Amino acid sequence: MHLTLSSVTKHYGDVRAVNDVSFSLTSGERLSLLGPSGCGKTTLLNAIAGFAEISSGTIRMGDADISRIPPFKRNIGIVFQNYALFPHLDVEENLYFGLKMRGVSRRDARQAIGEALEIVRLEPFRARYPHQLSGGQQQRVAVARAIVIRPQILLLDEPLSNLDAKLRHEMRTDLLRILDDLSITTIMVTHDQAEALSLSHRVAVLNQGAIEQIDEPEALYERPATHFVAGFLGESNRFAANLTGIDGSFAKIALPNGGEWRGRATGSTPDGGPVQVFVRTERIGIGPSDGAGDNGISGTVRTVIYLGEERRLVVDTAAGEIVVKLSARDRLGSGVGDTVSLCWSAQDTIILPGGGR
Amino acid sequence: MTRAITYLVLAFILLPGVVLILTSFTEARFVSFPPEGFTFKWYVLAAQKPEFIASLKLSVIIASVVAAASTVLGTATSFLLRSLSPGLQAPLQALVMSPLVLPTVVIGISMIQFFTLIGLVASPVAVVIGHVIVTTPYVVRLVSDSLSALPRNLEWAGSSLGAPDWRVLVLVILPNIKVGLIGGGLFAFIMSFENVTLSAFLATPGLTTLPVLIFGYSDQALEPWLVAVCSVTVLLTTALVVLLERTIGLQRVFSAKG
Amino acid sequence: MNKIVQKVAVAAPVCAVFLLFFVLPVALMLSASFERIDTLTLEVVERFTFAQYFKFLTDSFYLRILLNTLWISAGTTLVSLLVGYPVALHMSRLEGLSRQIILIIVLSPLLISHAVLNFGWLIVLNSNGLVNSTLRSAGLIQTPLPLLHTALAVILGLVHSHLPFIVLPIENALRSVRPEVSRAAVSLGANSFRLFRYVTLPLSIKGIVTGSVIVFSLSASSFVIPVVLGGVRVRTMASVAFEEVMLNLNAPFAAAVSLLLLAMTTIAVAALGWIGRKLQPPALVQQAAKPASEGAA
Ligand SMILES: Nc1ncnc2c1ncn2[C@@H]1O[C@H](COP(=O)(O)OP(=O)(O)OP(=O)(O)O)[C@@H](O)[C@H]1O
Ligand SMILES: [Mg+2]
Repeated sequence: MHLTLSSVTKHYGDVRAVNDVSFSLTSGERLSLLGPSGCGKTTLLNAIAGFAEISSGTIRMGDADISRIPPFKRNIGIVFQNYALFPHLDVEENLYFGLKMRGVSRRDARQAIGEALEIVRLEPFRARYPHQLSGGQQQRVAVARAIVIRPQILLLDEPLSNLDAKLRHEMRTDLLRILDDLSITTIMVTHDQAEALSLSHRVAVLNQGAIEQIDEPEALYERPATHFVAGFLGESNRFAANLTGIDGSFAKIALPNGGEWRGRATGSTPDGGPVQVFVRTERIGIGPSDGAGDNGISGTVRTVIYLGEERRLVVDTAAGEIVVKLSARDRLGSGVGDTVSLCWSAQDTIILPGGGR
Repeated sequence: MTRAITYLVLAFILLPGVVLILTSFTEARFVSFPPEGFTFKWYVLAAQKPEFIASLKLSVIIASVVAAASTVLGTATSFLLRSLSPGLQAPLQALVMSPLVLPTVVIGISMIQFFTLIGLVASPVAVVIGHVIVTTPYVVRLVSDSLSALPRNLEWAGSSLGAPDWRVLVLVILPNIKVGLIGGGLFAFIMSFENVTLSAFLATPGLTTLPVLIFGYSDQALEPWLVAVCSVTVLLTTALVVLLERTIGLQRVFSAKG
Repeated sequence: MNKIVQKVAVAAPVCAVFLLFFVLPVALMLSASFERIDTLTLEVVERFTFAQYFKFLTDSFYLRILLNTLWISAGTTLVSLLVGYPVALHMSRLEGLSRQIILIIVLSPLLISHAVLNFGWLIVLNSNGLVNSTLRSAGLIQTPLPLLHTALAVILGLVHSHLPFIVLPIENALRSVRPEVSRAAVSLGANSFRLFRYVTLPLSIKGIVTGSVIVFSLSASSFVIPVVLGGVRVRTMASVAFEEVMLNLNAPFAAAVSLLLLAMTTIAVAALGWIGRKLQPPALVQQAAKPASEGAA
């Protein structure tokens, strides 16, 4: 089922919790909403579900405008952050609830419930009450309850955030399998970038109620369109610089300290003027300055933080402090106080117009 | 829907109080509705009625003594309950809380018989004792609530800093449960001041508390000065109720636990 | 050692007060209920007899009073539930000041003397009171309706003063239901009636039972309200017990009546609890047995 939002806005008094949001999902597409706390993710989800009446704009499901349809008629499945299972009903009854509301007899419901339980692998638990289930099991009941009604849209509000780190990883794989099996149009809210990037076809980054960028995971990560997105996803070093010229698909930039770098030029890169340069920490290598990368700078290692699977170096350079993330495989005997040369490719040098900082 | 019903029910709850206040200003010699005219004379008259003055005095004195006594008794009980092992705690708790469970008629009849037996009938002491028995459970509930909100290691912290037990009590514990203490005392005062169920048994002629006085007049023609008295108590209690809600949160007193 | 002495020093007076002034009197009353006195001289003529209980349970006059008490208490409980539930539901959705104001109003009847409230109801229900004057000036009646001294008047007064005991526990139960649970039901297709029928109501049964038990026992044992609003025509066991001891000075009979009242409320309360457990979903019964892990949240 298509889902189309056009200029959806939701005010709470003076606060614009959702500000002029438009996007469109094709049937079976999965979208993640990503953004800092309080940016309006839950509000947007509630608006689609019908729990928050929108102040302006329209929400369309297929060809029908559902903006004014009461939530119980929308046929949207929701998985809540705290699961919100009915504590007085066992697993089977929790699943039957939505079917009962649709007038399905208990006998006819049996098969649908069985299938849903099979998808989430909870058949042995059908007679348990929610409080007799572990967090991961409860989460899967919540998913099963939402999908057993065969909703046209599925909404997931931070579905994995209540689980501990290890279970979360397992459930992510499970959820991916389930979502792939179902191919329902799905919107998922998450705080976790890895979750957003791995589970969905497209990711929308929200900031202060508005969409900053909406794109496929890789495009979003590799080609951020705004300062906010470049800074929010992953970890980047940021420099203020001046664009001095375009040379094919490369841009020449001059740093305040006199250095010159080359960066990636795209259609939206301006011809000149002040720009912001972003270089992701994991794209910087340490090497002999033999020109392995397009750009380079030398500096002194100030701090080394050992994190098991990676090491973070903070290096003082003429362009300011630069953070470098080295994987455990990069065995480099650099210690605090050593002079190192950093290098990275022009492809990994992201240039966005505008001053600042 | 529920909002509309709620407002109707709230109006129903407020009805008798509002009606009392409105009719207390009537100029008619007998109470009727709607009240006729507007005058304060019944308040003036009430203030000159010796029986009203006497019963008001008696009620205030009894309520004050009851508040003090049940606060002391209730607080001591709360501390005791806190320090006892669960095996001893349960029976003591049952003993102290049971006056809330038994029907008041049972308590009233048993007390009048008992006080008659020991020759303490027609004495304000009997009324005080009766009230203390039924108000102390509320104090215990409130103070225990405050105490259980205190972290245990607060006392240990006090002791570890070298304070002897009684100083820990005075300097550490009491200041932290002040709200429970004051609330408990205030609540005991109100409960005693408004009590009629038990007082009706114990307050014999010559020993009428204010509610008993009003109760005694309820089967006669409604005289406006009594309505004035009633409306004064309504206003007074309302003020106290707001005060109580602001200090301790009334809900804690009535929540059906402990 | 010192600690034990301290505890005993506190425990002794506390226990003494409650044993002497509460347990002992009740025990004496229990034994008195088995006595028989000469109603003129007030001398005890028999020490151990079931005469008082016999007298009550074999006289149709008293049995009618027992039935009266039962149905008035049951009626009060039912009306309180019907009237109190919407208030609790509304309150449970409010926060802050608006909830506090409603709470204060709801609790106010508990803190104003029943004697005073009775007076208010007298002015409302009198032949020239609020209701009758209004009806008369609206031209709906010529002669005043006999509202006072009816079972209805008693129930009205009892509902009024016991409403808080039903609103608070229900509101408490409703408050512990997360808003997301209701939203989940709505998203699954429940309209407001079905949301109430299949989610809200089952989850508040505990509060309903707790509240009903309190209201039933309190209204069964109330006598100040029945005496004034019911007059001589509507009598209850509590008002009979009160009159027997205060007017007729027949303490043994009063004791027996009030103990029968206690027995009756105990049975009714047990029955209510049993019904409640039957109605309550099994999961919640088990949860209640566990220490409330999430209740504080
Ligand atoms: N019912 C409400 N009344 C007033 N303001 C609200 C309400 N709900 C949300 N807001 C405001 O709207 C903004 C967006 O809130 P929302 O809950 O959608 O954020 P979120 O992105 O889900 O945050 P989080 O990641 O912390 O869950 C916030 O500023 C919040 O304070
Ligand atoms: Mg949120």
